[in-house]
Amino acid sequence: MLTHLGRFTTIALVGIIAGVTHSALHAPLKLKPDAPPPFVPPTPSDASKSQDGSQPAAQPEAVALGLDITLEQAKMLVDAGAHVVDARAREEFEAGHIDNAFWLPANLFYEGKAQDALNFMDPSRRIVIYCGGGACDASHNTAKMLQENGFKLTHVLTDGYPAWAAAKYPTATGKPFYEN
Amino acid sequence: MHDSTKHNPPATGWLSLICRVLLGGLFIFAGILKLGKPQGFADAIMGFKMFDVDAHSHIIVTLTYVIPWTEIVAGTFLVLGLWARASAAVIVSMLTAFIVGVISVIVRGIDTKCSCFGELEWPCTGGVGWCQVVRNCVMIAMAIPVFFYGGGSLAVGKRSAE
Repeated sequence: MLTHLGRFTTIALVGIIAGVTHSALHAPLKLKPDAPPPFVPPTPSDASKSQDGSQPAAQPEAVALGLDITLEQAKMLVDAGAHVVDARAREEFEAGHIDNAFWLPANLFYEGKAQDALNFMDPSRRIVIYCGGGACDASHNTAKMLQENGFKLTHVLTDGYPAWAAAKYPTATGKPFYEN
Repeated sequence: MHDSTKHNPPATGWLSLICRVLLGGLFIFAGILKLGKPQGFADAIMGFKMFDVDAHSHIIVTLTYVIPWTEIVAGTFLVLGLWARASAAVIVSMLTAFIVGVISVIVRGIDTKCSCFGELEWPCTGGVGWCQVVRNCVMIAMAIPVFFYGGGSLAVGKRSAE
């Protein structure tokens, strides 16, 4: 007869073996979002030609932006037409968010409820994602899920919403714009 | 430890039954929810910041599946009343580890989600906090009658001196 310790070990081992087997058979999990390709700032149409109108202006150089970006880089991307995604809780979003931000915490993807926002988003555009800054992981989780759904050009504003609001850049309150 | 096969009055037998079915059922439920959304649970494990993603990705992936499977296996044994004390001990060990993890998150001031019950966080809403510690302590308390009285009424393992 097995002792209680033997039974304890047996139950734990069955769980471990089942889990290890499942992890070997399951599709790989995405633990980190990928870094996006370099960003090429758009050329304003009125500056596409030189002053005499005969020669095209020099193409702007590609800017190597990593996954994690600074406040200034986020502002540059937003000014260039990037989507903005808020990965925080709903009540935080409604209390204040970056103007025209989508509300997309990672759990909406897990629950199959992200499509409402994704329908309004263009996969060819850059996306700036933010959460509460500091040790907050929510924006990286959302970045992974966006990449899984074909939105590869994702960046994370490391300092999050507090830095954006402190810089007095455009913000809004209430529901996401696409729910009105 | 009390010998559940000889001297259990009916009340303690039913108490053990209720506790083990509730606790085991909760663990089966929690395990199934986690296995249904493994990416969400992997994100939750990383949110606890106990493992470096680059250096220990294999540990994170393994835990993503081993924790829910162990919950399901131990929960099933407990619901059936088969090896009830041992399965309750497995569950208490897991709950103790979860409490240590949650307290370390609170102490380090990390803002993350628990995903203890997948995306259902009842009764604890919001991020990881003391509510999860209390909830886990309540579940540990539910295991105590099983430790003392074994599987109780309707236990599969009752005849084998549990």
